[in-house]
Amino acid sequence: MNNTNDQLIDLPVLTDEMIGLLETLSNIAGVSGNEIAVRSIIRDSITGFVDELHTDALGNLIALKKAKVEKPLKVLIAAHMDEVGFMLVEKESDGIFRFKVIGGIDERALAGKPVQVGKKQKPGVIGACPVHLSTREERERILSVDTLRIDTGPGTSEIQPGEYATFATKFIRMGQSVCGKALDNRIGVATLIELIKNCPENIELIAAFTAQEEIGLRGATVAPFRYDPDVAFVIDCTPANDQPAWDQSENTHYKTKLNQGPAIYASDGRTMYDHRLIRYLTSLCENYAIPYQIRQPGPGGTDAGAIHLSKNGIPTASVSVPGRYAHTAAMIVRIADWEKHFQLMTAALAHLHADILKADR
Amino acid sequence: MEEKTKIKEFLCEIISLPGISGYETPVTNAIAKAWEPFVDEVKVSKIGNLYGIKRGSPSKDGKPNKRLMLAVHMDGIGMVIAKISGELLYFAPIGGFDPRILPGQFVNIHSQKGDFPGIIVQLAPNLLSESYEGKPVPLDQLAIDTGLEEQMVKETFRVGDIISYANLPQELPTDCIAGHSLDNRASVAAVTQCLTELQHMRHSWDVFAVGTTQEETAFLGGATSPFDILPDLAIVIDVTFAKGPGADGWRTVALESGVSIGYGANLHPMLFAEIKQLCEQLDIPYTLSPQPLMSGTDADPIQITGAGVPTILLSIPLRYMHTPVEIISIKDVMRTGHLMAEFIARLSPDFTEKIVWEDEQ
Repeated sequence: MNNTNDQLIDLPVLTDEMIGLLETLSNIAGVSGNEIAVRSIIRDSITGFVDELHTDALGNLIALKKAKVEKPLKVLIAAHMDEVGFMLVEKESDGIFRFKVIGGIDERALAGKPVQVGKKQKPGVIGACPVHLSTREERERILSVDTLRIDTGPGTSEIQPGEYATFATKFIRMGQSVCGKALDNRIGVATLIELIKNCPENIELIAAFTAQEEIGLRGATVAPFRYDPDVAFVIDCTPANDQPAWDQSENTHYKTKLNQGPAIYASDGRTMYDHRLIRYLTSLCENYAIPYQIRQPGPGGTDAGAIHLSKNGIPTASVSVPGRYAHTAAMIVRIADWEKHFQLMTAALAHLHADILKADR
Repeated sequence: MEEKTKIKEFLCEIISLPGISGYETPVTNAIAKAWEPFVDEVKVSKIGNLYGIKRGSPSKDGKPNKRLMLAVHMDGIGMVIAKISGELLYFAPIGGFDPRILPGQFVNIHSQKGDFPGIIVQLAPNLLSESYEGKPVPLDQLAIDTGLEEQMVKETFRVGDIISYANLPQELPTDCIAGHSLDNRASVAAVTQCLTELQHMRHSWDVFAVGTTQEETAFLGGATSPFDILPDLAIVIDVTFAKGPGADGWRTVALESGVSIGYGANLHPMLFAEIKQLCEQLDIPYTLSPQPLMSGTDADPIQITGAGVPTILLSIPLRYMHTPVEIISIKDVMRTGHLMAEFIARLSPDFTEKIVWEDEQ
């Protein structure tokens, strides 16, 4: 914050409507490559607030909100809308299907879960051998996806291979937290929808709801091409492995911590982030007294990995909401962390100007 | 309403209630309410067994009626808090199950402050006693995250608080239900169906519908209830392994294949033959279930109560036993209930005299 827009704005609070929108987004299915249901909800939510809206060849939904000034700064904000899940690949017998995992789900979290299959979210389960019929040696091995099946019950002839499935998790509130499937990254989607609605007039906002992030940042690889952004922000979820260790030793590899606010990336497995943007974001946090944390550098990544390499290069920042147990049946996020993240991104748009990118790299 | 729909609704109601071994009261109350209209008397024993007593027609010779006991265990498997560390709850099992089905399960924790939701989680490898790469994480290192912060966790939970599965029933096509505790609430529903049908039938024996406690841990109800009732004959109703992914071979029968009739040392051969013949006479689909040693049901303790009780074992096929996604067919539940009602209606006052061994005939 140097020469323009120095005056602090009023920060928004997280409303029950936003949590309600997150609930809707969490409960629907949008496995990588099949983001249709999520895209429809986003389209319904932002139509009327944007000037252009396109779905591209990979299924990215890209919205343009024009500025009310000449030669505005063109800002891309990307949030992936896909989630990890399953595809039914072979019908083995009546109602029983082989399936493959789409995205990074730990095989050890599959057995014994309810799932929902296809567009109509028909019920099914991933069963497991009764404990009475397995040996101790067998129970020392993992139940691999090749041995598990999705069971939709006898007489389900309308379900066929090719359908997608997800865990059948219903979003709930848990005290100071929310819990649901696909909070990675429907939280980012819900945030971006709000940012579009309240975007400052001096900025041209390119909002990219990207597809196929979980299977190799494929949507984000093509999303920046249409509108040529000057700068990009990626909003996502990141693991908080901040629980106590089994042996009570100091937990030094926590990635991020809950209740410490938005996680700003310095570097990860794919990206060295633009430090002018990192400084911009951290100084905003300090001026607004928004708690923040730097995600511990290390493996992993976000859509930034593809976006910063686009065209002739795009200065890019990543800001994530810390959360536990991503890519399982249920993730836990502190509501306060989401709110602080939303506030930081709102402030980031409000004070953003071209001079930030004129500083030395 | 159709009887089948009524039973399905009742079954969904009782598998949505907690009833962990030793803590059966919520489910006991619901079952008592369902049985009340169909019986002359409802009682709960001092250790929690539920007795629904339906008297037979008074005998012509003034002798007391013979007594038939229909035993179904009401309890289900669950967990208990064993340790609290930071905001995490560690737990021990109640009853036997395969820990590999646990990561990602929704549970309810029954604290003195009320019921709280939680999820069973597998922590990051660096937080475990060893990384468990490619191996199941042992049960004692799985934890429950309630989404509550440490202070709140400290104030809310105690070691010893009971934990039950929280996933709700899923209705599958062709009258199948998926959910937890179908072992043995499906059999409770079968007894309820039997009592329903007996409303329109005459019978000379007194019928004691018994919901037993703690079958999964100590056979407490099965071992104690016969002393309250002094039955002349007992039918034990439980579930058996249905064929499906992970379950095949001589211990399994097909889902939807009807009543499975147990035979072996734990069951009386004459009664086995009688039941089998009745199935054929009534055209009720059935399978045979060999029990070379003990059946592992309440029939084990009931048979050896007092001077010995002639015992029948009827089983309902169930997939994925002791997981939260067990599957049963309502058709099999109805058939089991119907078979018992028909058997009871045919019991003559002198039937016990006919329970003789082959070499004595």
